Amino acid sequence: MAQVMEPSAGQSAGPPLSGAPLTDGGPADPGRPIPCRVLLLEDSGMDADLVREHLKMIDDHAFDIHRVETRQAFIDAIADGGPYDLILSDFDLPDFDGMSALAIARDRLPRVPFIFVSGMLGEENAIEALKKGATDYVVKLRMERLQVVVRRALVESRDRNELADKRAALAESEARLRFALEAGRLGSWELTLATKRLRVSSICAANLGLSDPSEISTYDRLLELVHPDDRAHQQAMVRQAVSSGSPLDMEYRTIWPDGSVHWVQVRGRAVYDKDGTPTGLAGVSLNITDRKKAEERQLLLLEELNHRVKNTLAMVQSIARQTLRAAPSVEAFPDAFQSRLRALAQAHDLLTRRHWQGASLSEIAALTLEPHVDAGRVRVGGPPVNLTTGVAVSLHLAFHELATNAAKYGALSAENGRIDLDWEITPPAGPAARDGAGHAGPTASRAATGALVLRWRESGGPPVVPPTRRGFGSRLIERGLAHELEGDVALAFDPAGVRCRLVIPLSSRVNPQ
Amino acid sequence: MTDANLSNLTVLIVEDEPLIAMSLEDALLDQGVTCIGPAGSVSAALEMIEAGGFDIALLDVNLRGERVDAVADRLAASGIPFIFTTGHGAEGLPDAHRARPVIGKPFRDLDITDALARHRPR
Repeated sequence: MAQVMEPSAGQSAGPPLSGAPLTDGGPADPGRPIPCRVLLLEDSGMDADLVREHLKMIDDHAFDIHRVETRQAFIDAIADGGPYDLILSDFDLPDFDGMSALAIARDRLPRVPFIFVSGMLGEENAIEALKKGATDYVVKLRMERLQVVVRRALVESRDRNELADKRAALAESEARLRFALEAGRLGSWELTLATKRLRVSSICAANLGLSDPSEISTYDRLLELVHPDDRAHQQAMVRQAVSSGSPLDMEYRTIWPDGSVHWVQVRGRAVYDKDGTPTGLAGVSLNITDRKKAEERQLLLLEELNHRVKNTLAMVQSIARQTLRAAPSVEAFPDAFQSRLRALAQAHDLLTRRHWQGASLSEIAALTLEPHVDAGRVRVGGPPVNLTTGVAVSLHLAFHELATNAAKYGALSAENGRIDLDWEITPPAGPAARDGAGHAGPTASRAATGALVLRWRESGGPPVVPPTRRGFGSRLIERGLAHELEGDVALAFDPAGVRCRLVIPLSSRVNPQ
Repeated sequence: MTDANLSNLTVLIVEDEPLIAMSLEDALLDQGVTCIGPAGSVSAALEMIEAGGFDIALLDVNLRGERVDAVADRLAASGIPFIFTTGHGAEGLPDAHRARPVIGKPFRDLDITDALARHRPR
């Protein structure tokens, strides 16, 4: 490697004072020569020196010349890659020829300018060389041309490389954009205002339920796909975006060819020509049907929550009123009220665990009775039965009243008292039983569907004294439960123990699993 | 308390939540009102309207997940006044009956008796 010129490391001041005939395409900083690595294939030392001398005269470049003399050295240098900014090559070499060198260079370093510098180069060879990709040629008799040729080759090469870099960057950026659009399921579209022609990507078409983007080639065709109720809005938004230049951001429904309704969000912006006249609109589209559904679901849930809270407050109000009515004294009120509130809360806890999809009868029974079952005082048994939420809450409150009464006055108030809670499913009555039932009502539906028969039996407690007046529990069971379940309820204060028998017609609200 | 004399009045209660129905009954019985029902489902309510024998109805807007539009339609067709009771806002009302009086849950006894006095048939 021959160092013909020390790079001035940017310290030299000012532009060169002489020998700067070329002014175009120079470096931004005229005081700093552009470093340039040259691969020189030349077997003659004298000719190599001649080339060096001429290159030296191009004083806004600092040439770093790597001279090779043989085929192998040239191939090695090319393989090494340099990186070279320029290749200068003799045409006739003892073990090599220029055309082969050119072929190798074009193959391996296609972007590096290649210039022949030769003692003689016939016109035919010159044409052939240019055809094969040589950048230019200089004959040694007119070596003064080298400066012009090299300078032009370098400038053109730089421009070309810059352009190629920009193209590559653009292609890469486009690929990234495409990837991002696809990953985000974003469709892209472009509207030309003068022709009302529309170009959409395949995702954009898919957002409108179409597989072929060419099916939506005009704005009018797009409008046909927009839900009729949203068309006027869509058009108004587009007009506004064009006239005001503000960003387009809208949501509308589309009707797919299969008739289903989907939501699309569209964002875009007007495109202007150099005079500032809007020529089109371009942007992206997104299928937001899932989001819209989630929003609707959330609204419904909020509404449902509001409804449930109000209803629960009304239930609490009712419990308060009736507890107060039945309370033997003001002092007795807080405990009775709080215990009922807690029972209501327990039912809500259980139903929340079951996502408010209902509960099983055994779960509901266990909610109140489990501690007593564990103590061996209560036996609970029956086939699986599903209850809807309303039925579950009512039954739970009824069990709570029965258990509270049993603990205060009944079987659970005595050491050896016990409670049997069992239930069974009775089959539908035969046709004979159905015939007499000309009116719809509990009896008729029970006859047609079968029933849940549930028994609460206390034993071993102190002798039962029937209450002088019906309290909240009795009323809740005899009136409320019968009403809620459209069934028959028999509550008996038998001296041997309280008994309660419910006959509930099977329905979607009370059904065996 | 309202001064309106509500004795001689018979009210149909349409309400699916037994506790709330019981509370309504209590409030009305205290005023000497006679109660029919409660009807806890649309079909039960329609049967009770068919049977008749009441002057005015208290109508929950939703019975076990079912809207009461059909019940309201039937009452309106029969010329029987009614008052909605609801835990929803006014949005939950049947479209055809949005002008009807509404009492929000939970309610005061006074709201119920006042509304009945105001809207009972003259």
